[in-house]
Amino acid sequence: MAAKVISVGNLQAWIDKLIENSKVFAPMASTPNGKSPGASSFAQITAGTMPELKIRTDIPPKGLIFKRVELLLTYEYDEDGLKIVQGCGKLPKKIIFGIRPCDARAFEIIDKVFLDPAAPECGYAAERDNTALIMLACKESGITCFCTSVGGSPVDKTGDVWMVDLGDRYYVEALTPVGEELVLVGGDLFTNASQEDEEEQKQAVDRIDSASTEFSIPSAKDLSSLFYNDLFWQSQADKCLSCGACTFLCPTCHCFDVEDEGSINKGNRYRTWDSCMFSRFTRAAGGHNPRVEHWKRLRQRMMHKFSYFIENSGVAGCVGCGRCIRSCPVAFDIREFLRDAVAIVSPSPIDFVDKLPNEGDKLRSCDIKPKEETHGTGGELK
Amino acid sequence: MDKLEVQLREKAIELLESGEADVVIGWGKSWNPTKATPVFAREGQEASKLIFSPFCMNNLAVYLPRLREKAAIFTKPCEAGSIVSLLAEGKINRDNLYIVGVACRGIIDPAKLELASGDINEATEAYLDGADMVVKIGDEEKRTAFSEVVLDQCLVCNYHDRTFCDEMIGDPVQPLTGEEKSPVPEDADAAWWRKFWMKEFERCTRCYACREACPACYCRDSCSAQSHREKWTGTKQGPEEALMFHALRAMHVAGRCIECGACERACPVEIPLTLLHKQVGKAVKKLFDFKAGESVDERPPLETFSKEELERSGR
Repeated sequence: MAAKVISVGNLQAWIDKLIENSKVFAPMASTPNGKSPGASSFAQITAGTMPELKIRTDIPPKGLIFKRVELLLTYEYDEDGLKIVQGCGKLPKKIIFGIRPCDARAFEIIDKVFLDPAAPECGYAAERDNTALIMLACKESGITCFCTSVGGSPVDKTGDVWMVDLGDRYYVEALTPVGEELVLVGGDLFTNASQEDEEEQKQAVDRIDSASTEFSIPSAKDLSSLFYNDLFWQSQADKCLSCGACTFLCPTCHCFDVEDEGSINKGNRYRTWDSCMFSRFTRAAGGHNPRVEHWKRLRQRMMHKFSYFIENSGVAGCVGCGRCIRSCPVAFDIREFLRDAVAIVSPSPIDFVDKLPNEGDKLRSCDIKPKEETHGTGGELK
Repeated sequence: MDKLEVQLREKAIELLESGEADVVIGWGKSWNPTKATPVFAREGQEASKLIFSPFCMNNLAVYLPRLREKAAIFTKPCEAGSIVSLLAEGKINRDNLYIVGVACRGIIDPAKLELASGDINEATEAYLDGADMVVKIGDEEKRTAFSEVVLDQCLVCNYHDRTFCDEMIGDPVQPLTGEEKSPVPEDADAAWWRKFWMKEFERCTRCYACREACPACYCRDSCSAQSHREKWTGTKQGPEEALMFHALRAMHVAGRCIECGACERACPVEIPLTLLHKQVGKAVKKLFDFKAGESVDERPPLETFSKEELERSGR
């Protein structure tokens, strides 16, 4: 299909036509509560509502496909035996409208886990199949954006339809057969892109691409060589509160838990979001927990994103959206972590190397040993 | 660098070099001009990172129960109440703690600043200019009266030059005046609250940032909200489950919460949690005539029981 153009004035009519056949989710500010600005997110819109396409949402669209709680199966046990019904069935069609390239690319990363041909998960697969992505290339990058440093681009084409904002009109390109259908729904609202439109589109794309800042990140191998440098991880984690804000607002974090709810005879099995920043995430039956100390959890999160995931799947588990930076209650900056990691593994003599821990060094604040006798500020007192 | 920051850094170096503290906890600059970040200084040179500004939002007392070192802590005068509360409960060891109160002009409420100035995450500059807070976002410079963007508690602050500490640094400051604005109508009843919270908790991600940022929530990894054995909150994560968690937390910190608002500032989706905790604080005051964070010798009322309380409650 040839590239098309739609005027800003016709956009609403196209969205309204899309809503006739699908649920449409698009960036929206939160409704005021009189005290705080709330959080912007991808909310379901009704006909006549214009999405706030300029917003880079606080909450990513991850949860629209990788559900916070997914019913995996229901079970019932009676005199006839055990009956198990798979949770996933046919779902209504859904469109995520105005999704940014980083958030769209995040789904491709999560796919590597949940659509692994060896063991695809039917709930996720069904959601993914029924959801079309209409992307909007970024016009400018935010202060916390770093997609270009982790293999992405503000003008990536990863969804079904790709749009570029040209001021008074949008340049629209269908990337998949599903995308072509969505554009066809708009019919006469679109015109074929002219030579002039093509050129303006290229200029817009070049402008944003060259404006993005890029820095180098450690290689998967280099980062794994840092694994045993406890002092490095402890000093990185000093201020970390070990909450799940970064994880739950990350468009690529996908660690999960499986929980049964009900009785022994009848109940549901759910897959729920979980966070490696929580102590219970690694608590095994019997009580052993390999990651009681919170710095080990921070290490896990970073290693998973920038070492293990690259080794297993070929890409970083991070799309550089910057939400973890914006949402962190103690202003932890993942870019700073990456720069520190590069500095410490680079061959140039950096003073960190002189600070490798020695035996007999004092325990650090983050070295939590809950039941040990301590001589510090905290701990149980007699 | 202003005089107060020089004093802060000199004090930190002195405490580290004299061996009074192995670590000094204070605030430093972050990636964003409207947010400071906690700093752990263990060597003299790290003390040069220390700052003090209206952007030092974090309540640093949250780190004390997990510390395994002798520590010195810089505290805003009002938040020394968190330390008092932890001492009253026997959760930290006074002998290994040196407390430095820092004279405070008022702390920015990020929610108010965002409503007044726009997306503060995109700010490139932010500073106090006389009685105004100036924030630069893109090409735009927004100027707002400081008293309109400080935390509610700064408008009724009683701690300008005194607090629970080993020493106080900085000159006494002029109290701020202004009006507290609340979205809660005077006649708010249970139905109003329920509607309000159901809407707000709709976006709760259950990341537990509120809990982890709270000095009174030292249960942390053992929090009953995440217990698998007794399920206090269900697996399904709607606003009802979120309300259950926040109500559980509010009841658990009742009489121990100093209403510093660290929970609200930590919330990545900006749920106005202080409204909940202030409500509980009022009930504690009424029932037990008790305010958290005022005495190291008095245990929180919900940890104790006396006959007078029973009489006061009218039973």
